[in-house]
Amino acid sequence: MRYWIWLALQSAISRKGALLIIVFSTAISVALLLAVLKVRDDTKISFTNAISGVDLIVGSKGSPTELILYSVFHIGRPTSLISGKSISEIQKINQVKWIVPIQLGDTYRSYPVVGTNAYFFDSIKAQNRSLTFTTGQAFSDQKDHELVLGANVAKQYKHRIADRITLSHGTGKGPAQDHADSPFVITGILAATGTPIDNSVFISIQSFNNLHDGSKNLQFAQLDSAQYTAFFIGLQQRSAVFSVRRQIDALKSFALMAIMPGVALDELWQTMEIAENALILVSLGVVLTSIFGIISALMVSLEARGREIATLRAIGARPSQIFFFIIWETFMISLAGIVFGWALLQATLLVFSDWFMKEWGILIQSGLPSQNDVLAILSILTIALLCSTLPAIKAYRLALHEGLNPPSI
Amino acid sequence: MNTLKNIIEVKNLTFAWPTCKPLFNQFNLQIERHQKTYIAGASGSGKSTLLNLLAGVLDTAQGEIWFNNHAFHQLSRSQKDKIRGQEMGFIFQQFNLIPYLSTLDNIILPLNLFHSRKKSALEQFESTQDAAVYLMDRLSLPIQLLRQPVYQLSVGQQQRVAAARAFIGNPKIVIADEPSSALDWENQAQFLKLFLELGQSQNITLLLVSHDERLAPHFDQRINLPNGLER
Amino acid sequence: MKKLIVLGLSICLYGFLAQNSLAKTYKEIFWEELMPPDWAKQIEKDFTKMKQFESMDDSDPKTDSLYSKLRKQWDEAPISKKYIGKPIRIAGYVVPLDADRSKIREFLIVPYFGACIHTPPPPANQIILVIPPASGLKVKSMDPVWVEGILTESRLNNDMGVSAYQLNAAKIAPYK
Repeated sequence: MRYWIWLALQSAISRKGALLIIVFSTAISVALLLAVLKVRDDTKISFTNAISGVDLIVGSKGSPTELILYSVFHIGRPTSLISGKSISEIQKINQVKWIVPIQLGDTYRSYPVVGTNAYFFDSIKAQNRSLTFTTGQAFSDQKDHELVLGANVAKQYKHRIADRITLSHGTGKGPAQDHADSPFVITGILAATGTPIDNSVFISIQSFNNLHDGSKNLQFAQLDSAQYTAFFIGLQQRSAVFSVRRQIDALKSFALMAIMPGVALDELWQTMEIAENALILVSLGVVLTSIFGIISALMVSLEARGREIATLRAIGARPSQIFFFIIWETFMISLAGIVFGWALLQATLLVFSDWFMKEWGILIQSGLPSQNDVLAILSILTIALLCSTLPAIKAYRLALHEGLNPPSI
Repeated sequence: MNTLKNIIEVKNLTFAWPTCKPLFNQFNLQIERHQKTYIAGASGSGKSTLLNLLAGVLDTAQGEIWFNNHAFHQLSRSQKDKIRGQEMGFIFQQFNLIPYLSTLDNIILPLNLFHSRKKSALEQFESTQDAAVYLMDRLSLPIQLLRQPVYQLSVGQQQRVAAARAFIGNPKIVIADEPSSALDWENQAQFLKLFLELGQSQNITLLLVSHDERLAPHFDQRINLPNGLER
Repeated sequence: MKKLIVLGLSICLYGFLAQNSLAKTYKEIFWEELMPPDWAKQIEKDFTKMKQFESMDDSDPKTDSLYSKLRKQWDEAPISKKYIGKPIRIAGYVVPLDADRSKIREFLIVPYFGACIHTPPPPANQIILVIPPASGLKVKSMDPVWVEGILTESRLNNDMGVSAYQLNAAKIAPYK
């Protein structure tokens, strides 16, 4: 059997000129499938843990998925803001224990800046654990120009307590929009949480508003005159969540929407899974098409290989040996395509990994094949193996019936 | 019916292709060991069918075929494949070789497929390569061709490589089907000479099938198809 | 005298074992049992009253206020003390609370499917806050599950005296 494998390899290699394009197309389709799988796995990691201990997220009326995306994951933008005047109304609701307002819109070197109050760090949890500082402490709500960094931001730019940094507004388009005259001092750096908090920069509401409208110079007490992206709400009893949601909906003058973070995240996942599954199916279809290309190329080649098969028969080869010979050959060609595909993906990732992080905030890295990668590759190989029975059967029939004198001569 | 004397014996063979008239009717044939036999056959005379039957690639319907004391008419296909691989060598009119292999790999192909044939070659030579080189030398093939891909060789050279492959590892018989028809006259004469010489020196039974009467005188025995044995 | 001591000890042992095994046996209960009977009766009366207004228009402000009144009543539904402190086993649908897809996230269970999406939420005495065990099961929105544990009352320390059901689950299993 080992000799037949070697023979199949020689045959496959000899066809490299003719099959180059088809192997290349297989490689591209495999790279595509592996890329889709990888994006799915990596985005899933990013969207697994967000915040805990928050019972309701309040935003302007619209899509719940969008609300959780921008308020928790800092992806996208709200179409309208909510008024700070609603805070006192919400506080009147009996079961409401605390309310933390959130403002978004600024960036620090493409990391989102979150305007909130210092109570954020006491009430919000990540993976059921309270937030802790590796160094320093929260900013003071009374002071301006103080800042807290998430773990990844500090690590990336090697920031330390008492460093001064400048924030830019909105698009992060460079110095024209920078608030160059108002650098912030770092008062604290958070411990890593494995959530979007690690990639965030926190400043007080007062600082946030003063950044955009220096004339107003809001004091802490004037929370209600500002506008916000969202509120995070904690309740006295978690099971009262339906009741409180209804009561917030009932505040007709404010056009608010209250969502349950757990439910919203699960719905986000469901939507993502539908999209991902569709993508995977399409990519799989493309891979299959490429493999069919290899199969058909081999079927065509067999038309002219009758004499070769008869020669092997004359030397004493059995039809079953010729069957496996063609299986091996087809398999090796498919394997070449798959391996090239994987290598192609790794090369692409090496080049584009940074850009992906900047544009989407998702980390996609090259590296050894993950468990899902291996599963995908094995599945494709199995399909290729099954499909290679087609030319193998054709060769078997040729071996069986044509004897030593095939009609092709 | 001295089976030890005859390497091939065909008895009362009746064979017909489906929906055709019988090709062989009570056909008999004996081929002595170490003899050179010429089978005269024009196309349509059944020579390819006979070759396929003798090689064990085709199954007999009625009658007996004996090869080297093996009862081909009773053996399974894979058993016959094995015997063919171990004990026979074949040379065809053209396209005998595996195009993507080198000269050397083509010649030693039978040795790589059958252990007993390799063993037989290694009884005489240090390595399979040595066995191949020896035959190349006997067939006047330049040694530089050893590692060249066979499709780069001339037609005449290719046929001699095919002959080397047929003779390597001491088969009991070498069967040639129109081996020199594709060659020009000069190459034809040379090929035949080498073919006969090799058979003689290795003491291998030779069987040549052809329609070219000019070759007939070189052989000990002549058989006409489909009529049968004729001395 | 010896015989009495042996008898006494074995009774104690039996009682001890029996109690423990009782503690480990979770009683399967149904959602209706979590509603105090008199409150349930009152709600039924209110529903029959509601039927009179079935023909009413949705946009009619009267419908709105009636609906709000009903919802408020449901939000303030009292709990039943019947199973408080007892080990129970109940099946329901998951409503996750935290944006955290891990097996340790807290969730609510409710009696019916789509409680937060398609249909109005259940009364307060038909909601249980489940604290999962360390080796919890990964659940997602609207998964049907069995939960086992001791049912407790979580009570607000204020003048309103609102109570809610809570369960520190010993085990969570998918409902087949």
